[in-house]
Amino acid sequence: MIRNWILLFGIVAMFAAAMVGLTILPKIVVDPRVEEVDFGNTFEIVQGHAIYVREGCIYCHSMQVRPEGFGADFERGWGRASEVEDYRNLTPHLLGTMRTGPDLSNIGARQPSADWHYTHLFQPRSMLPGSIMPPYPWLFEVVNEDARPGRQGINLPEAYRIPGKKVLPTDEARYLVAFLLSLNQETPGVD
Amino acid sequence: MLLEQSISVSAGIWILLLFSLLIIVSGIALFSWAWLSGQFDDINKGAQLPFTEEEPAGEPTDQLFKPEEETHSDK
Amino acid sequence: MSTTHFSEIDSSAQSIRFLDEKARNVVLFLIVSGVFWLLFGSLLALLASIKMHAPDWLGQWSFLTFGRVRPLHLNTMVYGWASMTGAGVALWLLSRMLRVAIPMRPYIAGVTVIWNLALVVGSFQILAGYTRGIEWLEFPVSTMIVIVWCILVIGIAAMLMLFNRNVQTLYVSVWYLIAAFLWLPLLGGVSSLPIFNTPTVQAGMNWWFAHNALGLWFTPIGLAAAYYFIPKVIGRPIYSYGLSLLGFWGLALFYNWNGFHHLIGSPLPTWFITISIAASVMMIIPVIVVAVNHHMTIVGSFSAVKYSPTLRFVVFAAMSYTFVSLQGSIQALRSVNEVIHFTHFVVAHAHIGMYAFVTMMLFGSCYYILPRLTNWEWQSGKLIKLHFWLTALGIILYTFPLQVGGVLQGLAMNNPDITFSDTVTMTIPYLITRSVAGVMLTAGHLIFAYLVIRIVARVGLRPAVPESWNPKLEEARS
Repeated sequence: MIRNWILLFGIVAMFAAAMVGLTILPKIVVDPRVEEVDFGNTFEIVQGHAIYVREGCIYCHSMQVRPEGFGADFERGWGRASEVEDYRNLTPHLLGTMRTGPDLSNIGARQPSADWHYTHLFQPRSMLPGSIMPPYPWLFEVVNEDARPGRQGINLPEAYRIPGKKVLPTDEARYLVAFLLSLNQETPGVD
Repeated sequence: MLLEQSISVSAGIWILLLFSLLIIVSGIALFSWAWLSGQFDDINKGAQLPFTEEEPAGEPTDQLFKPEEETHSDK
Repeated sequence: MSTTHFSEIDSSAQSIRFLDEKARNVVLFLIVSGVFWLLFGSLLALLASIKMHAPDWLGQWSFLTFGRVRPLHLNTMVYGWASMTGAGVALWLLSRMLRVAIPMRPYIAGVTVIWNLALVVGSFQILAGYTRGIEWLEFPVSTMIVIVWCILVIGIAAMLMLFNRNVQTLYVSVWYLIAAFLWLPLLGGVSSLPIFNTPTVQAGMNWWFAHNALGLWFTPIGLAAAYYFIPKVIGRPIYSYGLSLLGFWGLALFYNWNGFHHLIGSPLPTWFITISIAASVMMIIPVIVVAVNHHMTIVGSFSAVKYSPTLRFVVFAAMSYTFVSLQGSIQALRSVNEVIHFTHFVVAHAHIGMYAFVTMMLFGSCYYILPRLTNWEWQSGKLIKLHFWLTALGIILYTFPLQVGGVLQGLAMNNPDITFSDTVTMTIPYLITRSVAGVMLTAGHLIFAYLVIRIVARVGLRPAVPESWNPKLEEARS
């Protein structure tokens, strides 16, 4: 019977050692660095983060810039290397593992036009012809041209216009774009 | 900031050192227990465990494709 | 005794047939549930794969958008197909090697029902947008806890078998399986704790979990199956039992630390990442040990591979394990990772691990286990061969071009003179190839599902002796 227990102990000990090393220790080291940062997340940004998570943007877009000299992240204008202080305590984390699309850490500085983002989210190929990004029409309302007077539809190119209709962003689209525009890596880092 | 960083790096080194020492010592302890209590005396005995009187070693099982009617060569 | 049907065989406790009869209902339930999720996951995989090169296809429905279909594909394959079938195979293997009937059978059947329900609920949650948003952990915590709890109950049954066993010595497969049943509930429990609320720390937990789900749950089950089926089918003991134990402790020591190689270049403190790189390279030791052991056992018995449906899949899977693990060790190096990180290369790598290794191993195990549980024969040897070639060639067609494309994509991405949109368009031929391969794999799964339904429902021809069993057993014994 002692052999059973030694086997079970060995198995759990191996696990526990790595668990402390890779989950608890990083927490002890990293948490003090983000405790006192002023995050300033508005309601729109927090909601937009949730929509970013809901639509699974993370499966094609990373949000971590590698240091200068490691890959071409800096040369592509994605900003300085990311730091743990950059993430403003919005969980789940959005570091991502794929760059099917470009890194978005700096998208607010690289593309500050909300109108561009609305059109691009409604139909990515209207802005970037070769794009393979999915469209997100459920973040928009298609209404008659004369409905909602005073509100202007998004500015679609000729080929993607719907005759007699205009396309209005919903609150969800506004939140998502607010979140995207808040992503800015031009700021100086802490280190 | 630089100071804080250097503190956290050297703390990391100590943690790692202590940790690896702990792992090495417990590894040596377990190994000596295993050696002294005769766990290694007949190391290959375990290899016979999948075989029993009902399905003894020496005879292949699961030979579904063996029969002659499989004429066309497929491998 | 001229045949080996249940009615005529030795049915004393501890006999193989007695153990199989006790195992039948729970193991079949787990395997059939797994096959259902395999088909569902394949459908999602096809959707996600085609959407990668036809983004407007079915683009008007939020619940079928790529960002929801892809994670659900992963979760149903991992926690549905591979975990359920893997748990069934593991229980059967433990029953055989500890020579004790599976205990707690009504409870296992009960948790299998709950597990299926949790997967259904989780599927609706992800498609409706209620995701946890962490890769490999997209099911909301409440759903995930239910699944982990189901595996924990099955793990308790496994521990009971360990302590009530009827053999003195533990075979190496038992070590792996017991470890797997301890590790997964621990992993699932820790990853559900609400303490990882700093984004970068959560990313660390994320990849610690995701890599260990493969390394500490599916890999042990797959290796346990290989260590059992290879000697069993060719009728020769494993080449070196001592080596197999070295392989086990090597895996336990190094695999646990691998996860952070997914975070190379990320803002996490570098020394954590360096530990993971070192551990990833150290994985070469247990992998080579396992590869040598399996190769030396099989060498000289390749006719048995040709004649056995089980061994074809198992050998393919074992070779894939060696390949994918060595590839993983190289991928973890910073210079290599600089190119292939963030590209389709890693997706292909993950599929060599989860498909060419784990899934093929489970297929092989099913081909051995099901005739013995049902006392029936597989419908058609030709269909089994078709299944093998569709899936084996399919996964090669999936992974090899996609890895080539991934390297090219990574090199282009690291060259700032190439515009980013060019790095996207250049991958499209490889993505289309993947969809073609996906159709082949799905066709193979449909054949497999048909065969499983036929044998579980016990319809079709019934031979005097199931040919998958050793037809010469009686002569050999007399």
